[in-house]
Amino acid sequence: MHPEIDRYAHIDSPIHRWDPGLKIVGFGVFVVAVALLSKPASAFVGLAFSFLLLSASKIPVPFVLGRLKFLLLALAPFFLLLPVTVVSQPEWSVTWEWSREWLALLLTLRALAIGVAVFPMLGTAPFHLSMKALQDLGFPKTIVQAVLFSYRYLFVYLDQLRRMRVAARSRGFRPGLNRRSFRVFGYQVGMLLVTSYEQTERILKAMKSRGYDGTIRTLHASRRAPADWFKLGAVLATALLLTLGDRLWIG
Amino acid sequence: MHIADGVLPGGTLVTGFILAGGWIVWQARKLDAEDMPRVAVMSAAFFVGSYIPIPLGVTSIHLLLHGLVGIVLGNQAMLAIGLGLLFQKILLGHGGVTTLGVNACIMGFPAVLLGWVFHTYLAGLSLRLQIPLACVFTGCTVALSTVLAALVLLSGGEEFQVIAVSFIVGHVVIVVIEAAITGVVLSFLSKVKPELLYLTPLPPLRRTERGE
Amino acid sequence: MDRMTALSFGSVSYHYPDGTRGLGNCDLCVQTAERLALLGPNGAGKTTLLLLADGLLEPDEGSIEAFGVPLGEDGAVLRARQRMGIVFQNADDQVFCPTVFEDVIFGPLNHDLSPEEAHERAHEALKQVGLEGYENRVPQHLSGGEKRKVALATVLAMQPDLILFDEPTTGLDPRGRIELLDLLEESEQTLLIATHDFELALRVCTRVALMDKGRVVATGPPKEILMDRARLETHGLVQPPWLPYLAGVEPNTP
Repeated sequence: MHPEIDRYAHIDSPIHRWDPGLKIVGFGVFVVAVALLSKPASAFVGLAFSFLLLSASKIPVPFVLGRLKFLLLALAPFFLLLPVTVVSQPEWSVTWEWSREWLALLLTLRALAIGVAVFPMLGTAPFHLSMKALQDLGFPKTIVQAVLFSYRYLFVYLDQLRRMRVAARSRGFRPGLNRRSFRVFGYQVGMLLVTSYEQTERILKAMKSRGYDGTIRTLHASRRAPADWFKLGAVLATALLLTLGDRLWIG
Repeated sequence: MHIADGVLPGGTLVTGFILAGGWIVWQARKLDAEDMPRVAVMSAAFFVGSYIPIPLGVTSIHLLLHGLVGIVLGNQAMLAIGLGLLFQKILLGHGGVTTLGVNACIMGFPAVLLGWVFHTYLAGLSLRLQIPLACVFTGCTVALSTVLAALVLLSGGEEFQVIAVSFIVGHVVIVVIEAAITGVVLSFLSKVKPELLYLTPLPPLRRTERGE
Repeated sequence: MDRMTALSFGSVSYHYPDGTRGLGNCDLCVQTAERLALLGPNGAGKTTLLLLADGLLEPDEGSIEAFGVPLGEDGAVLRARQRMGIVFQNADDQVFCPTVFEDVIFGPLNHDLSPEEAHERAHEALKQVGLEGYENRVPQHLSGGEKRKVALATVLAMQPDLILFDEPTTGLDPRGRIELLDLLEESEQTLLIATHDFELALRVCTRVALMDKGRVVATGPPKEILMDRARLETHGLVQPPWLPYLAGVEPNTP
């Protein structure tokens, strides 16, 4: 019911068993390499590798494709508008250049390769472990703690929103583009903010009553096995090959 | 307004992370013990607020609310927006991971600016003036974000000119809707919880709560 | 105050920032090892009293002492909190860490125990509330009753001498309620429980303090306070019809 990235975090696969910190580094480098590719052919190879990683993680493909539909929607306009050129001198003219579709294709393939890779990257471990891994890698602690806190409570507010929407509907409210609707949406947002503000006060009291003084003390247990480093090496090597192939191949 | 992965050149992506990341880390140092939970928990509320679908023709759009974030959280708005963008990508599939920095800049800097304008010039005014003015300024903020997004798209090359312009045109409606709904929220908050709009620093830990 | 007093309130008054009166000239003494129920209608000041006791609010007037030490002294609140725990009404407010185990160990880690000791305390606390095996569970997936138990475990892990409860049975289903009542009956700590739950007051508590309009208006053994229907009604409470039977006493004639 809740949209969650780690719905399949509890199945088992080589990617699941990969140490979260090294996993994020490996995928991070791969994603950056893909973002920098300059040819559709190499982007296609990148996409293939993403799918390979996805299948290694055993996360169901329909789940992933379902989540990617927004990405595809966001990219569709590029196919329509990139080939268009508008010229105003000497006179207005609009031309369509088919050759520019390769650019749209490149963008889309890169986007998909990255979009697919996000799932084995972040969907194969419980979210909080991925974030702890970021902290171990050197991300500022305050920020990681903020992410975890935020994540903890967003589901509480999603539930609250659901209840508010059900209540409004049960009183005959039909959302639309009109003043009344805007007022309802505004009140819903307002209520969420008020609730969260008041809840923070109570959370802080609970934290202080248990000795909170500003630092959050955490437990660490990050044991890395040789297999983890091997996997990292494999992914980094692929990223490197991909980048080299992209720059050197004349095609 | 979220730009997806794969669309922008590497230089733009890196710049985005440096600017947004730099601001967030700089401001995060100023968060004291009580602020971090508050910013984080309210970021969650803002994220959920942006989840509300607004019907628009056959489809629906989602609010950005970054103007409001700027007013309520001030300099910490960038962190809140960053959190929102992260969750929007990993939970809903909107936006991108490589573009987190860029998207945060596009929405975050105008938001922080609006927060500054609101608290410096508008906070002392009567509500009858304050709310309409805040609406106007929110509209400007969203418009500014739209223009920034268009400029960012242009960094991809001249092929992106038409799409950048279409982006701006397409967002005119959003400017109006955001301004209107922000006005409703501000009006609501001013009646129900005015403290939220004048984020006063929380009192320092009392001496009885400090150790030896 | 002597060593036998865990908590004492002397003429304490408190007003909330918006003007509402929390407590007005309130006196209360909680003896070590007793289980005191704070009974009163909404707005009587029960929650306010608990928050003041833990130093989360500062009184406008009057003095509060925990374990014989006034809370107004430097560092006193911090030291008092090491021996006192408070279980709030809404479990979501206090179960804020990513996993159950991290929540339960939050308190011990803040008290500078060694990691090993903290671990042990956390495991022990989870066992006490019957949630062994829940260590890696994520709070948002837990039921209300489970979260409530986690909240209790987070306090038990600090091994406090005094535990404050704010409406512990509200919102629990019948089984959850019975489980909690059993747990409370078995506990060895001093307990101060703000509640509407007459059965809890009768069954678990050794003394009842009746609160109304910001003050403690009467204290005494549970049967004495709870069976005085007229006095309860004067202070905005309604005696449940089943109470006399539960207490094994002849019902009051109307």
